[in-house]
Amino acid sequence: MTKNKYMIFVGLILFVVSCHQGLAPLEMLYMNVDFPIPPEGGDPVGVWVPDTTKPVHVALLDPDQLPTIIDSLILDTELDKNGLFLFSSSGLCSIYAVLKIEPIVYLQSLVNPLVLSMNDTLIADGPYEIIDDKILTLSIMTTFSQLDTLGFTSRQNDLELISLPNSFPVEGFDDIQFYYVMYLTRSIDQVLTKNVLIPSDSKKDEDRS
Amino acid sequence: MKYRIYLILLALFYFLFVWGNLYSQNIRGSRITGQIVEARSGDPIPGANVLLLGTIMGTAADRQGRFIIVSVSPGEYTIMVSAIGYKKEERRIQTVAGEEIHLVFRLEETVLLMDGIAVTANRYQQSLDKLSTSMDIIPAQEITNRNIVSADHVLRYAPGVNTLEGGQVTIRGSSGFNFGMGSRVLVLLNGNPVMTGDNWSINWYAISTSTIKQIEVMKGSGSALYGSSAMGGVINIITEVPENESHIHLRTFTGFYNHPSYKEWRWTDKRNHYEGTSLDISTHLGPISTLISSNYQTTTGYKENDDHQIFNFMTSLGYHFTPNLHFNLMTGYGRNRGGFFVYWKDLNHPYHNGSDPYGYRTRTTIKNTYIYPSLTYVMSQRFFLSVRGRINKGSTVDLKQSKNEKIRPAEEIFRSSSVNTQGVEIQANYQVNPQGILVVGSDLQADQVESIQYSHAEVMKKSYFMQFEQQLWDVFRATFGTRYDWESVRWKDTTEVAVGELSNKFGLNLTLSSGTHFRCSLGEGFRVPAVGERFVSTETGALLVFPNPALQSEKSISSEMGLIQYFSSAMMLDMAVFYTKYDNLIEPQLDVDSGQDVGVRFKNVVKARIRGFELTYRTDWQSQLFSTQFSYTYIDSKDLSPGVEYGAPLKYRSKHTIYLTNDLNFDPFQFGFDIRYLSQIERIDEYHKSYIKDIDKLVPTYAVALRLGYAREHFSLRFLVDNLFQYNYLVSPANMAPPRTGVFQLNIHY
Repeated sequence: MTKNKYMIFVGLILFVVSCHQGLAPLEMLYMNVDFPIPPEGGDPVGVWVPDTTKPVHVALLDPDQLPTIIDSLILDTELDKNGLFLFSSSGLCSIYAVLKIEPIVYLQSLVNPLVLSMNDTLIADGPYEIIDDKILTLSIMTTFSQLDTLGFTSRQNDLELISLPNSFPVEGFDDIQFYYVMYLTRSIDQVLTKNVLIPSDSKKDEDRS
Repeated sequence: MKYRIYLILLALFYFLFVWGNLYSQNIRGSRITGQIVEARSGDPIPGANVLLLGTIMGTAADRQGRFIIVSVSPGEYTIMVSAIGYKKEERRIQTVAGEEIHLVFRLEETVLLMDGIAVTANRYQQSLDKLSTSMDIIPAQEITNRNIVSADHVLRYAPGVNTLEGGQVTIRGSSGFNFGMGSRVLVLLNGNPVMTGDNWSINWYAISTSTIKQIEVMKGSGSALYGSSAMGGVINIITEVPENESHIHLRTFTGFYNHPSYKEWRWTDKRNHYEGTSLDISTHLGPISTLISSNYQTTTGYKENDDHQIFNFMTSLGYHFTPNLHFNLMTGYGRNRGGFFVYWKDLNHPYHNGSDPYGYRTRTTIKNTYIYPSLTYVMSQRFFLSVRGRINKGSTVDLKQSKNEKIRPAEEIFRSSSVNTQGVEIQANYQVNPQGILVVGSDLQADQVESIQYSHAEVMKKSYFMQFEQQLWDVFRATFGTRYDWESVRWKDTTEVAVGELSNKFGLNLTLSSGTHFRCSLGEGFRVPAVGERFVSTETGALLVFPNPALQSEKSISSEMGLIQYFSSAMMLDMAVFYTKYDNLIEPQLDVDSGQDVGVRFKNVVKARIRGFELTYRTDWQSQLFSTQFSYTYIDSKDLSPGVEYGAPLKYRSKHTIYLTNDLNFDPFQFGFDIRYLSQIERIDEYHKSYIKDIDKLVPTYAVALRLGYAREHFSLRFLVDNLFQYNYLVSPANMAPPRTGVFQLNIHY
């Protein structure tokens, strides 16, 4: 009997000790994210298309960082007008867009600038999250760019997506750090109903019926 | 169909009323009256059960402990008196025509609940040690002692039972986690199903906990007596019956939630709290005895958008047309208004709502109104007839409320469902011979569902059941039962699905000695898919859910062997081994709809078996000075579905469950503590990971609760602490349990 009491006592002690464990916060991933242009937040929910009146803004994080052999660098970038960005209120996003990037590099040694052309296709289909009310995190497939974390500023019919600094490798020198700001406008052709895209005309038809 | 049920109900009531009145005039027998009191103090024991063995006659003592049984034929009988917390007593009596016998029973106290009487197992009152299936009784005292505000919370201490967030109940691992939809445990309120007709979940909020007399938990398949959804077990909530005496009971409480363990987990700087008041009044209006109960609770919630205001109101009217013909009308209304928290945002924000659409919060209003008329007629000491009607109207409305009305519409209803249910059940108990009872009956129910997410559906259910129990050689009881259920569902006026299911049950009980009782049973079970599982088309958080009208019934075969051993009048052990095989289990599965959207659909996919054992030990040291209940349930579940998951444990089940309850009584002071341990669940649905962040972060449950009380004759004061060590565990995946909680409770009763 004494042995049983001892076992019960030990069991209770072990139980109480176990009670001090349990779930705990994970390491915070987004505590120190600094965007080159501070995002202002807002509401990203809706269907967005590239704003054809504003090209993608791309800039070097530190203009003085240019290697000495490069006189200047122009990063000519635009979003294909057929792109589509969908953020549903239930936390799902769907993105298909082509980012055309044309770095024009002027070198001292060359008479004509060096023009490169690359297309980066952005595809996302899955959940997204909003952190601190101004940062979007999502899983997005890209070829060159890192766009899994985007700052955003949303006004009534405009949405700006701000990337974190991306790196452009230049052999023999430090990587060039640059960032994008993509300008989107609310789609007038398509609306979002229950996470399903439908043309706005048919929505009107439905309403009429 | 709706009007046909009303007509059947009215015709049966009228028939019983007229026949009962006429027939009662011709019965001439003796009366047995008496009083049941505590042996030590002489105080009455209200609610004590009185059974005239060898007949179907019985009654319950009133608040003064008095009882009366009339129209007893001359002869020799054994009368048995029992009450939870007291040792039962049997006495031989001889009745003579036209004469009255008066008896006084003085019962000694004990904590051994096996001396209780349950009605659920066989649809008539029976002592627990005479049953062929495992049964637990939760007395009303446990509800008061733990300040239980929702009846499902008290079930967390019943051996082998667990409740998850959303009121979902599982008995011995019968269910995993499915957001409360399609319960495999049937919940009854005085024998009437309280399941919602659309998604077959449980309306716990509509049940007033202050009027509960006891909760009976039957484990293993109950489909042979109760039909669909009783495949995992049956929980019957028995409420107080209205009496001819007046009494009043007021309970009020106020409690608070501690802040979360980590500063970064806080979603508000305010102190979260909850409070509530219930008032029960029992009185009589002339010959009509009445019980009125009202209950209001409000909580800020401990999670974001998890505040609730709950109100319920219940009346019960009783009237004896003749001593043998009794009418009862139970009516109630419940409303639950508040937020909607399904899962967290992530483990760094576990108290933030992840299931709300961005920029919105989901608000829910659930209402339920019920009317349960019943007529019971003891035609003779061998024949008993009851007719129970049920009319139920329930609705659920979910609306999206904008957090910023400047940029979004203020409110928008995106889910709603209303259900109208009408049903009637007829049951007859016939004492075929002094040791054999036959129970036969039929049940008819119609549900009409009108819903945004389920569309329009009409369900028609019919069933017929029969059970016979025979006692042989004083020590051996055999039970055989069978039930046929037929159900037809019409959806959108086009799709029609009809199913017929036959369920059988066989049970044995053997009294090996006065302190040793052996039991075994084998039963078939089934569950017809709920309207919600078949026809749902909605989104929950980021999850799309698609319909599957072709869904089939789940089936099971469960078996059990058990032994009750009394070591002394103050110590008992109940052991049981069980084995259940499931076929066609319904689980949500990842799927693609015709529009190529990815979501989930309920499908018949799982073959499985669950085996295990359960051990319950109760002891009473120094005559209730110190009492202990310990239970351990081991579950070994295995997925037998062909494919890669073959052999894996079933999802959302804990292998080990331990509950320990201790009470120390130094009259008038009371002290108690409870310990709950559930091992970490071994598997979850993989697809949840795609939209619920950190859902795979799981831990075992270690919960400790403390109770301090001071009780006098007319009032009691209690202070309770839940989750004493502020252990961070889960009530369901991605849903944190409350942090440490303290509550003060005051009870006044006259």
